[in-house]
Amino acid sequence: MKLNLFLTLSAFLFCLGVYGMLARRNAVMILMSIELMLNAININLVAFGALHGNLTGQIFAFFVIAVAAAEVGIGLAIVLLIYRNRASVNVDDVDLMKG
Amino acid sequence: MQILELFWLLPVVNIIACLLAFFFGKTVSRGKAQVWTLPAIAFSWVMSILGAVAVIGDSHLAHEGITKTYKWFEFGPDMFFQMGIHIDGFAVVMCLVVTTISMMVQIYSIGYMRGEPRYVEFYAVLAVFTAGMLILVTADNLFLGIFGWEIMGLTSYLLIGHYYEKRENSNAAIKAFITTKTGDVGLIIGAVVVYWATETFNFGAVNAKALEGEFHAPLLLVACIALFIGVIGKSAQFPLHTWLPDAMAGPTPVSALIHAATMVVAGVYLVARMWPTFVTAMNVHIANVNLIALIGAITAIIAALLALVQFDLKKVLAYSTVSQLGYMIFALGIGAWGAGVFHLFTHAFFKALLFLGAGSVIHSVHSNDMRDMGGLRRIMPRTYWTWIVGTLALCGVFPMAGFFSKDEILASAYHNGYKWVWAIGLAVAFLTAFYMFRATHLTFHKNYRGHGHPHESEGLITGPLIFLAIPSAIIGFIGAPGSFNLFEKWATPAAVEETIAKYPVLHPHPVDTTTFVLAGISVALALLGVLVATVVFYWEKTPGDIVERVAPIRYLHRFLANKYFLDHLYGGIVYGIRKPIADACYWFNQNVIDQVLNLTAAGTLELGKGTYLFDQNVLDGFYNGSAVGTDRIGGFFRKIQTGNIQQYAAVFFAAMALLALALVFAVR
Repeated sequence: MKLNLFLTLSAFLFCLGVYGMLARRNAVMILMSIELMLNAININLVAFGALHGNLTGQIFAFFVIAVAAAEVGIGLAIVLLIYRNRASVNVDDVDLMKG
Repeated sequence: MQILELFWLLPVVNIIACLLAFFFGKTVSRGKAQVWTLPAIAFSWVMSILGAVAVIGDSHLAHEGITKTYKWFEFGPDMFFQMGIHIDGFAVVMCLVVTTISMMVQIYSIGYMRGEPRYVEFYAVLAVFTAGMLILVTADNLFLGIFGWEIMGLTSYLLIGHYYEKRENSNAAIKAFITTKTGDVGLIIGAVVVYWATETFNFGAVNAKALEGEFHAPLLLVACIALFIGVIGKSAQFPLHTWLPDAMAGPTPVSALIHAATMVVAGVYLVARMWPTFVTAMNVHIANVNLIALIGAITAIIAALLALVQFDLKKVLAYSTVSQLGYMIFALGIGAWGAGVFHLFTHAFFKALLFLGAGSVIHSVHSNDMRDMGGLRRIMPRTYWTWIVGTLALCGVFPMAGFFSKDEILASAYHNGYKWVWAIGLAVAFLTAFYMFRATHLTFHKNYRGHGHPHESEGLITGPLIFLAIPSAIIGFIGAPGSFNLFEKWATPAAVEETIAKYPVLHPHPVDTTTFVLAGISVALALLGVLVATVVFYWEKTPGDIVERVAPIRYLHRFLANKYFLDHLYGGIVYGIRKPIADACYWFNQNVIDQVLNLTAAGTLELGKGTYLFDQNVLDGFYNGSAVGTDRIGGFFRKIQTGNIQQYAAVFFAAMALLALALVFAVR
């Protein structure tokens, strides 16, 4: 079965996303890494959907895409506001929640 | 191996060229991005020529075409999208137009865009634009066609906004994108309805079902109207034509390629490709009034009137393009398939020529305004003479290319019973000659009024002009009426021929005295337009302030100069819709929500007073005790709260990984 190929690709993309999310300092790059992880999940969903021969996985993937679009919309708006207030999108600079 | 089977390579090589230019344009080729894209477009051009030779040699192939498909992706049992090409004579003609104009524009741009910002990106986007158009014209199904259609929408946006540092340019790009997307909503709805009714996106299958009456009639009408709304947006038909003149904010080669010769004819192409469907839906065979002819005719006349009052050289050409697109659309709407497509073919050459000529002038004068030009005939002879060829072709003067295509449309309108369209077409022919010679006189004749020192453009710019002047002058002969009409013989697909055979109104008309009389009338009107323009703008026989002195002319001029106030109207509609909604929301907020909140607040206040007593005496003792405890614990945990989201994320992922491991072991 070719499923393994898809799962490997998905895992690779996911790890790439995790790495980007943890290692990048630029908030926009972090958002992009999150997109990467979400799409890795989508590949998984579609691959398993194909394995079972039904549409559930694909429909689920569509929902993920819709949610991801909303998420990136809000995320970028927040980043933009941070940039306007602080002239920086470095997440290290944004630690107002520090206890 | 049949050459036409290899036509899928055309879009593919251009996409590859785009990627190469984009990634290696600045490094490997040191900014000369054309070394990547030019070989690709030259290859596509040679392929198109070979395809044309193959089609000319085999009339069966030209009519039936060849199809190659494979399954693109599946979305359910027996439900899948296909990716495929369908190449017949019509597709080859379109490929030839696209690749020829694109190649000329890319050569021209080497000179024109030298030293401009974002040169590499410019070439990359040109290449992917060409690929998008080639995808549309080679696609065998609507879905893939829309794919190419949207690529073009994107690249058009990028290229209009090429000089995005200036606010008005980026606004023009946004306007073009939003306006065409408004139409694209119709296109998507139309495509979905087509699939719903016929369970296929394939152009051939849809056309066949429509012709045989298997396409549910109300759905067919809905689908065609929706698709036609997409065409209105893309091909800048009334009332969504307002974006095209603004699109002139892009570099001039882009205007020539995208906003004159290729992308804007995508809508015309779609109607032509699905013509049997449109004919059945709109009852084109009953000579009366139908949506396609009506929209096309309105567009043709209003845009021609608008072109009269423009002083921006490119805007004259832009309105002229809108007007000629109206010509093509109404040609399809009155049942003259061959004439409409032939006009698309010839128009692409001479309008690209005119735009590139205008670019050569603008490059030399550094102004778009015709009031700063004049007298360029002696300074720029090569640009002048090629411009004259293009102008005469556009005006439809024998023996230039435009004469044959325009006259064929007018004659078909007359013979097919659409007399009102014929009358409008003649009026447009007169106006076209008038505004084109107004532009010619203002730009090239009389004395120079500008300030700089214009000079003839370099060979890289004039070369493409001369190359394009040749087809603009002579290519009309392949579409000469009657049995000489080789173009229709080569380019008409089988489905279109079936449609024509089915409806007697659409049968080709005989070549007799009437044909020559009709041709004589339209040429006479065009020459009259030339004469009037020469009297007014060259000999200046009319008093110069006639516009200011005579009230009706003044009002008409103001009406046209403001583009029928359409932009105001659209702005007003958006404002008019927004205002009442906002007012209603405000009222609701003030009167309903506030009242509810006030009442709630009053109740809460009373409740709070009672609670206060209980709270002070009983609960405080308990909570003070627990607060001390919480404070100590919190004091410990606050050290973990660093405020750095990446540390949180690291902890989160570590925990999830542990959980996943635990799950794996538990399942085992």
